[in-house]
Amino acid sequence: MSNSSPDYRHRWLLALAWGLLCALMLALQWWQAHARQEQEQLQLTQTVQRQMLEKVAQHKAHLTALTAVAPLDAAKESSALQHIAQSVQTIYPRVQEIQLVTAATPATGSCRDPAVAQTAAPLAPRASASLPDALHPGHYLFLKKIAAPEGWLCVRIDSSHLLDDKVLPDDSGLRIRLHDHTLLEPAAQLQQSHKFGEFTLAGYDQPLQVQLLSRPRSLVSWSMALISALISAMLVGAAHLIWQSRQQARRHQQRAQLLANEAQLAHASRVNGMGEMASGIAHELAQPVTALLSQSQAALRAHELGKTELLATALQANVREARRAGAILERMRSYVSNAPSQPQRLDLAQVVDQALLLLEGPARQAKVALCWQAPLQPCSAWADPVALEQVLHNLVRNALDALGQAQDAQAAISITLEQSGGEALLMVQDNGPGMTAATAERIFEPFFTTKSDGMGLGLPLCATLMERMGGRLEYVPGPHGARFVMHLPLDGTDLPA
Amino acid sequence: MIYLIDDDPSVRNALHLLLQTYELPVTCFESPADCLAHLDRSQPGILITDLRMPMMSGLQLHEQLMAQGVDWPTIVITGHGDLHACRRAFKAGVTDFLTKPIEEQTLLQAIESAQTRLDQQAERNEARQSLRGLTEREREVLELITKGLGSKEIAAALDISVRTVDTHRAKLAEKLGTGSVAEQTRLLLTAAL
Repeated sequence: MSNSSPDYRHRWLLALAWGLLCALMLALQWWQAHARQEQEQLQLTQTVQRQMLEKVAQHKAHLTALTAVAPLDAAKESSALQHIAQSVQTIYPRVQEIQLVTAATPATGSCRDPAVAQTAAPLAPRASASLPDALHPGHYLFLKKIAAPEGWLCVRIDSSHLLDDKVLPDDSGLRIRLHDHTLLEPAAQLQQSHKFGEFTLAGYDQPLQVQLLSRPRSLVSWSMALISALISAMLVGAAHLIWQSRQQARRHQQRAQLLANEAQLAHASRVNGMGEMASGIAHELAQPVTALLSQSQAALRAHELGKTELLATALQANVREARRAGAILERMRSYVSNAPSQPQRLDLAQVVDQALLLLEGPARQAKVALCWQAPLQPCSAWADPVALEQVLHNLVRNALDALGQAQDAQAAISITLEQSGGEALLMVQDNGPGMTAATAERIFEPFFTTKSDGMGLGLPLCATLMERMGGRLEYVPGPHGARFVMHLPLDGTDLPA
Repeated sequence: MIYLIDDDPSVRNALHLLLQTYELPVTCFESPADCLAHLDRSQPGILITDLRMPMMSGLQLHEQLMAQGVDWPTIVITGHGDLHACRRAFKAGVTDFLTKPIEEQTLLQAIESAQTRLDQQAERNEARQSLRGLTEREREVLELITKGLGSKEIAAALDISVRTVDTHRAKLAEKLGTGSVAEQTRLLLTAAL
């Protein structure tokens, strides 16, 4: 785009939109991941429960089978129990020990624990129960009472093998309890983890309470966050571009409208301005022409009457007035011409002297004191004498007009000249009413005027003239009155080396 | 006497010079304020004033002088010969309105007619002055005389004796400086202007 420099006003807004969009996308991802995780964990819990239920059902089946052969073994008629036990232990490594405890075969190992006898004693024949193994941490004992020979079958099961390997992901673990006694704890780093599933196995006399735990997973990955940021940045950027191009189109339309209005206005003011200019020229020239006519007629009369003294006076006055008319025409020409000015080395104090000569009369009539003191050090700058005089003249005239309204006995205009920072500063300061901030903002606008008979071109023209000379005109608001400062480049030879 | 008011010294001097060649007495003022401050009210003359001047316009000066009872003929000159200003000037009782540059003959004619008017004003003022010295009865008698009535008729009209009428007429002739019926009539008419 041709003129779309970055729009800094909207930068914070864009950042905000980007941030919001980013957050929204991440929240959506998190929510999806969370839902997926919950689903996975529910499935995992169900899988674990199914597997473990299968296992404990097998234990129950083993005991049933063993119960069937136990009487034979007890009568030493067979060693079937031994065989079955062996094969069970071989096939199912979690079954660590199988014992038949009767009066003839006393308990050994874990089964010697008095708690085992206490648990087994109240059981009805063929009933079963389980209890934690005091000797082997993580193991539990599954008992079944048998009638003949009187005793019980005891199976020791390693609870850590109730679940097949690889069923649980690495970041998850199990906690298994039996009768409020903890059999199995998850790995140390998982102990404080989030519990996501829980169940108690029922129906096979092994009421294992199982909890499933997992480390909190980061639901949104860095790469996803990065992608979200990029996508949302692209979306916001695209939206901004569309918005900008629409704005641009609207601005183009407005500018076209404005140009059309301006053209109309310019035309109107040119017509009006030419009328004003003609009227101004007529007014300016009326004075010297009046004087010329009357003096010439007086000269003719003096000639007829033979009064040579009067004749000389009239002719001298005529020469003066003709020159004045010529100067007015010269000024008019420089008003209307767009030709670049011819700057020359000027002693500014002399220009001020010259300009004030013409202003002393009006100032005296308006009863306004003109204060001007040439600086001791000569100040020379590059400037066009006609233009500079014109600017100074306009500024002092404006000040006179402002003071004339005030009717103040102390009314004064001071003109000062100083050098500062490679510039000559020529200042015109009055002690009149000054102007409001709103007025001050617009004084350099063409056709803005506060005078009933003003054209609104004086100050804009002054500013243009100053710029043509490589200087500038500045309004400085002060506590009292108005102050205009003319800046002019100092003559190079006067600059310190 | 001609009183010239213009803020532009060159115009002021040029007109002064021209009028000087006609040996007309001229007094110049550089502003209305100057004129108001230094005008000799006891010496009636013609006022020639510029219209546009800073602080106070020629018309405002004219109005102020009129308010002070200075009703001398006034000629307004202006570089802006617009109709609007002209109409306003005549409404304000200005004698003449001239646009710059001013032709010698136009100016002289304007001064001449203004002078006539000034003379008439002087005459009228003189007549009024004379009439102001009369008694009520003398005035009644004078009015009847100017209607062409004789002493007897006046005596009958005012219900007084003829002798008394004659005494009043003698007094009138003394106060007005003329016994002529025609002169006395002219005086009364002039004063009424």
